[in-house]
This record gives sequence, structure tokens and C-alpha cells, in this order.
Amino acid sequence: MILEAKNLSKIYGGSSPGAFYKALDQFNLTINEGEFVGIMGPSGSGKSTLLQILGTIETPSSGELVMDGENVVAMKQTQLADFRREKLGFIFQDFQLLDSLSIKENMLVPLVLNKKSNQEMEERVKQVAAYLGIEAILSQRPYEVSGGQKQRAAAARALIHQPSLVLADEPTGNLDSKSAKALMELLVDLNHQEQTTILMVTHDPVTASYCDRILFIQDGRLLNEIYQGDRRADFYDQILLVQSSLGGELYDTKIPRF
Amino acid sequence: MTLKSLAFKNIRHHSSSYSAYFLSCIFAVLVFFLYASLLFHPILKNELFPDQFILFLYLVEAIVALFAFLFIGYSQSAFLRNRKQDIGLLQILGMPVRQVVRMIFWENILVGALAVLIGIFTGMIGSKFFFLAVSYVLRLPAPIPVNLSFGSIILTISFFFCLFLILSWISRFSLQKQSISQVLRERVQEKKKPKFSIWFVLLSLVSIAIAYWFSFTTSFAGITKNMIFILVFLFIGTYFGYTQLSIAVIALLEKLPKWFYRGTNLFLFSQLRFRLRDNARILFLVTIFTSIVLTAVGVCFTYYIESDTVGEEQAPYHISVVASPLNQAQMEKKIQSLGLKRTAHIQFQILQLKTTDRNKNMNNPVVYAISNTALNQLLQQEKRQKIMIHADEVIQIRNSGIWNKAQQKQEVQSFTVQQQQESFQWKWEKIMQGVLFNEHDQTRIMWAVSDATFAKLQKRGAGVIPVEGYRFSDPSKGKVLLEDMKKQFQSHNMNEKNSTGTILLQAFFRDLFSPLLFVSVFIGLLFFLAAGSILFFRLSIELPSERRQLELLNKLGLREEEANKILVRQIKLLFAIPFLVGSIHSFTGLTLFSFLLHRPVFASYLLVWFIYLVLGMLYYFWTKRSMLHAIGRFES
Ligand SMILES: Nc1ncnc2c1ncn2[C@@H]1O[C@H](COP(=O)(O)OP(=O)(O)OP(=O)(O)O)[C@@H](O)[C@H]1O
Ligand SMILES: [Mg+2]
Repeated sequence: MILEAKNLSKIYGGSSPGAFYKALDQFNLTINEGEFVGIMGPSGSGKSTLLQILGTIETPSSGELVMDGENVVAMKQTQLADFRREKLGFIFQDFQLLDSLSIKENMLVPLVLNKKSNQEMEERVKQVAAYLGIEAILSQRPYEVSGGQKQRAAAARALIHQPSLVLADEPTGNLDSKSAKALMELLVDLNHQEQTTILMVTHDPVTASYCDRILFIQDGRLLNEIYQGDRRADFYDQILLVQSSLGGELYDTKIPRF
Repeated sequence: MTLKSLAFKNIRHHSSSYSAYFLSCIFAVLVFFLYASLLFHPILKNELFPDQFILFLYLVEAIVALFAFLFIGYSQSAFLRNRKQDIGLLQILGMPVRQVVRMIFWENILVGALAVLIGIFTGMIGSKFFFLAVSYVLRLPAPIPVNLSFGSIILTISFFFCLFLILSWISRFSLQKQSISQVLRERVQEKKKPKFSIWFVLLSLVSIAIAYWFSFTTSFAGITKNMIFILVFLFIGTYFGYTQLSIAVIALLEKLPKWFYRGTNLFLFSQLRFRLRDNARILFLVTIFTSIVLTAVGVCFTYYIESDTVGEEQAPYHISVVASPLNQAQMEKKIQSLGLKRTAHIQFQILQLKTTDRNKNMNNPVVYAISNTALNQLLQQEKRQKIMIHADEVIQIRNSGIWNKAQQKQEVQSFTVQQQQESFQWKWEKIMQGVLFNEHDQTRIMWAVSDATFAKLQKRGAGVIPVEGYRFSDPSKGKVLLEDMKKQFQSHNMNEKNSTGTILLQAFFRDLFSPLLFVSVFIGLLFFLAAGSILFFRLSIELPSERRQLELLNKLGLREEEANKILVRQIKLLFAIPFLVGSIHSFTGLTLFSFLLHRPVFASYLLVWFIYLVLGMLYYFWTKRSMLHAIGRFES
């Protein structure tokens, strides 16, 4: 087990009375090593909030969170930064690459922060770039490459320091279906080969169907949980079923593409 | 790659927004260094320099230092806001605050070191001209030689190093306050439509009206008292003018639908509404800077140019003598021998008495009295109305330019003087103000009594001081006579101040305002650059959201030139509004400070204003070009 969260709650705007909002409500979650977990739910249901709390970017209002055997809630800012730097990798919907750096330098940032040697940096870049197929654009700037390439570069940055947990918030949200498929296949491959634990928020049933397990959340609470079977197409149907039972109009169901 | 190279790449990437900041930094270093090199110059030990001047230099250096601190501090916080996204991302990826601070420190040191280097280098080259200018302004017999003192370089380097150190340390707090999860939120937040309160709008209008009214009516005597008043009201009025009045005006404009919705005005105004509120503080700051620069340089320049006229008005007689050691015939001979032609000559007597009413006599126990006839003589020379004084009456004469030319009445009081145990009491109601004669210790405050009273006092043995004043057709020749008179006084062991003249006053004003002009131009330039780069920053900070907006409009079918036009118009307004408001402010400031001129002198002010306008335009065009260039670079 890599992550265990108990009774996580997040209340926004608590400082001004009357105007607070419960984004997360007594949420329980356990993730085992090597799992690929998806999170789905309508807009505003608290998915990003959950991901940010698990990513130690946001602090929970109450509840417990243990990751890799460490009690995250009790940590100070500096310790949290160290923890994120060593153990976590992030992929965002809008890529979040630094325009001031080349693709390669963007990938290097986590290694620079972890004070790795130059030699190790070069080796890792070569390895990861080859794996993600972005060797050709390493010297380019983020604004000079396509969205799919950007997201692969962002994924490379999230993986380069071999984190225990990769957190992805709608990684395919800004990609066309072809790029989305390529990225998902890469993530699945990574998950299988390197046993990297992945937690991903998504709206897209196709993207979600790559996961081992999907959590459905609504109004900050866990509603349902479904597991991958033998066939991905069946899993996809199952996802659609759950979605429609939760009020399908909240989702933009796309035509499946396999 | 290391942290240091990360910092370096950041600077390179943001070089276009750094450029304005960099330029102002260099200039701040340059000015600081120039004054420092003067402070460390061995020539200052020379008698030539009055202590006040050296004190003045320290003051200027302190102002420049304070300014550098505030300006660079402001710029840094603006940059941090600009790069919130990048820095937040690095923090999410696991960079601790301590390391972020260190990175910012390295960036500061890198930019700062370069600015200090260039600033000192240009300072070394420029110091020759700077010293020449100082020598000219101070009318030194020989120009100050160039002297490269180690001390000034060390002072400049260590001052700016400490400054960057302190500012980096301060940045820690603003970073800790910031929540990093904010970085991941939707970047375009819903902004509430700005509202205005009618009370604040009124407050703004009333404050400005009060400030203006005071600056139009205040005389020199009241200036120190009313100055703070005027400034406070002006600041309040301007601030609420930007935050409240501007929104009220736009709301009013919105009621004019036809005109309002024509063409791209729709976007412009809806943007402007937010823009004015978001930028209120910056517009306020830039307005204040503009007002200060225009007023200070305008006033100093005006007085410098007008020092001859002002001198003539303050001391209307080319030579005046109190208690002359020479008799009439001797004086006449001197005038003849110098070939001077008299155009006016006045002679009268002052009686010296004592009073117990010191408080009514500017706290002076000695009273100087003149007769009604003498007063009328003086009034006639100044082309003012004659006056008739009754036997039991006394008029106070305030003979100096610090008071407005006027005749005032007050509640009737008594004024008592003593002459050899005998007391005389008169009714005091009238006050006569304005320059009637050259200002001597004995003629500053005089008391005019009727001729009969004057004769009576004289009979009682009051001391008589003879006074005379001359005007000549060729005032420049009068200088020789004045110097001669001063020698006469010295040889008789008497106060040489008993003899004065127009030339002395003229020289006094020139000597006072030439260094002031010099300093105000330098500090004015500094302020100008700061104002410009504050606007530049602001625009470059808003550029990304601007770009998104314009791209959206572009997608909706607005042509690119038109989209750019919206941007350009915003830049134009951001530059023009503070300039206009600042011009009006400084214009009233000029009327406030032109008490010695009895009329605002617009020619010299307009010249200063025009130069400022041209410089401002240059800055505007440069900014516009950079912004359009930056927008274009990302669009492709
Ligand atoms: N900083 C904040 N302050 C106040 N309320 C917030 C804040 N962040 C999120 N919320 C609220 O918490 C709720 C959950 O937000 P969250 O971003 O987790 O939703 P989400 O499931 O990710 O939605 P989406 O699918 O649209 O991204 C929303 O109602 C949102 O308005
Ligand atoms: Mg979300």
C-alpha cells in the first residue's frame, strides 16, 4: 500500500462565516503500489481538490493522509516540498511547462531540484525521451511544439525522477483523440513495466477505460467504484452505465473510439 | 543545469520586461555614483564650498538612495507577481521557499551587478561633464578636476549590494503568503464589475477643489502652514479620483449608447473600467511623480530664468543705504564720478523707539517708525494709492515680498511705544503689505504715524536713522557704487548690510536656484524614468491576459490590426491620463510657488512641460513597440 487517506475533508472559505463550501466530505481512499486509479465525477465535485490534497499542494481541513509510510498532514512546508520533490510527479491539463526553458531543460527541473549529477541527468533524459519519443524536440521551446508533444514532455518531467506516485489532472483534456490515445498507452505501459503508481482525474470515458479502477465522486463524496475486467471495451460500457446512472447530462459523452 | 543557470535563463527569457527596470536601475546607480563621487572629492575640503551645499549633497544622496530602495523594491514585487505562475510551479515540483528566495537573490544579484557595473562605468565617463556642470552652476573659478575616488565606487557597490540583499530577504515573506494551489486554478477569474460610491466621488471632487483653491490663494507667509494641507487634499482627491471618479465617469459614458458602442469602443471601455480600477494605484503614483517633476523643475527653472526680475521686484532700488556714513554732497560726488544717471531718488527718516508690545512687532522690541509723508513718497514710487493717517492712528507696514501686495484691515487694537519713560498709545487697524523699499533689518516692519506725531516723537529725542534709495538708468554700473558703499561701511566699522541693492538680490536668487534647478533636473529625470518603467512593467505583467483576450477577439472575427489598436489605445491612455492630470496639478503647483513673481510665468513652465512631453512620448513609443513586438512573438 502506498497511500491511505482517512476521512479527508476540505472546506473552502471557512474564514468568512456563511460562505463556506464543502469541496470534500469525509473521503476515504486506499491506493496500492503499482495501481492505476482513475477519478471521475461531474464538474465541481471535488476531483481536483482531492488530487491537490494528495499532491500535498493543498492542506485538508481535517482527516489523515499517509503516503509511503509518512504522515503527510503533520509535515511542515519545507518537508512537504522535499516530499513532493522526491516522491511525486505531476501532469496537468494545461501542461505547465516553463516557457523560459527548452523541452529538455523542462524535463531536467526535478533532477536539478534533487541535485543530481550532470551525468545522471544526461542519462535519464536520454532514457525518458527515447521512451516517450520526444528526442527530436528536446532543444525546442514549449511554444514551438504541438499540444501532444507538450503533454509528453510534461509526462517526461513527471517521470524523470522515478517518483512513487504520479498525479495527473485531466492530462488528455487539451489533446486530440490521437494524442490522447498515445499518451494513455504510454502511461499504461509505464504502469505495467515500472510498477509506477498513477492517480488520474478525467472526464473522458475513453481515457478512463485505461485505468485498473475508477472512483466516482459527487459533491465531495465517494459514490461508486468499478474495476477493470478482461476487456477494455466492456469496462468502457460499464463506465458509461455508471455515468448515466449518476445523471449523464453532466458528462459530455463522446463517441467511443478504439 | 544548476539553480544558478535556471535563474539566468529566467532573466534571459524575461529580458524584455526587465529592460525598463534595468534602464532605471542603471540610471539610479549613475546618479547615486555621481553624487557619491562629488561627496568623496578632495576639493570639498576647500573653503569654496559652503557647508550648506555639502549638507545639500548629502540630502540629495539620501533622496536618491531612498528612491532606489522604493523603486527597486516595487519592481521586484511586481516581477514576483508577474512570475507567480512559474515560481508556483517550481514550488509544486518541490522547490522549497528557501531555494526560491535564493534563486531570486541570484537573479537580483545578476541584474543588479550588471546595472551597477554599467552605472559606475557610465558614471566615470559622465563625471567629467557632471563636474563641469556643477562648477558652472556654482560659478567656480576653475572647473572641478575629475577624480576617481575608490570610496565612491565602494560606497555605490556596497549600497546596492545591501539593497538587493535586503529586498531578497523581504521577498521571502511575500512568497510564504502565497498559496501554491492557486497556480492550478483557472487563470481567468471572474472579476466583479467595479462599483463607485457617490460619497467617495464627492470626496474626491471636493478635496481637489479645496487643494486648488488653497494653492491659488495662499501667499508665501502661509505656504509652510498650508503646504501639508494642500498636499494631503491633493493626494486624497487624486487617489479617489482614480479609484472612484473614473468609474463614475465611465458609467456616465455608458449612458450614451450610440457613441459608446461604436466600433472597438465597446471593448475599450469595458476593458478600461477594470483597467482603471486595477491600475488606480499605479496611475496615482505616476501622476504624483509627474506632478512633482513638473512642479519642481518648472518652479526652479522659472525662478532661475526670472531671477533678475524677481530681484528687481524684491529690491526696487538699485542701491539703498541706511544710516549712511557719507553726507549728501559726498554721495552726490560719487554718483557723478561714476557717470550714473538717476531715474529716481528717495530720502526719508526712520525713528527708532522701544515697545512692550513685542508680540505685535514680530517679537522685536525695537520699533521703526516713519512719517505719513515718507510713506506716501514710497507708495507713489510704487504707483500705489496715497494714504492719510490720523493723529491717533498707526499703520503697520510689512515691507517684503513674502507678503502679498495688499492693504488689510483688522480688528482695532492698541499699539504702544516707549520713548524715555514716556508712553505713546495709538489705534492700530490697518496693515500695508508688499514691497515698498529694499528690505533692511530696519525697513522690514515699519510703523507709519501721522506727520504731527512723527515730529512730536522726534522732539522727544527718538533716534533718527536717515534712509535713502536710488534708481539709475544703467543698473549694471550701480554695482561699483554698491561695492564702494559696502567698503565705506566696513571702514567705519558699521554693518555692511546697511547698504543693499537690486543686484545683490538678483545674485541671491540665481545662487539659490541654480543648484536647485540642477538637482531637480537630475532627480526629475530619475522620477521620470521610474514613472515610465512602472507603466512598462504593468503592461508587461498584463500582457499574457491581454494576449488571450485579443486572441479571443481575433477568433471572433476582429481583424488583427484592430485588436492591436485596442491594445495601443490602452497603452496610450495609461500614459496620457497621468500626464494630463499631473500637468494640471503641477500647473496649480506653479501658481502656488510663484508668489514672488506676482504672476505665474508660463513661458518657462511650458518649455519644461514640452520637454517632459517629448521625453514621455519617446518612452511611450518605445513601450508601444515593445508590447506589440511581444504580442506578435507569441501569436505566431
Ligand atoms: N480555492 C477555492 N476557494 C473556494 N472554493 C473552491 C476553491 N477551489 C475549489 N473550490 C470549490 O470546490 C468545489 C470543487 O472544486 P474542484 O476544482 O475540486 O472541482 P472539480 O471536480 O475538479 O471540477 P472540474 O471537473 O470542473 O475541474 C467547486 O465547487 C469549487 O468552486
Ligand atoms: Mg478540476
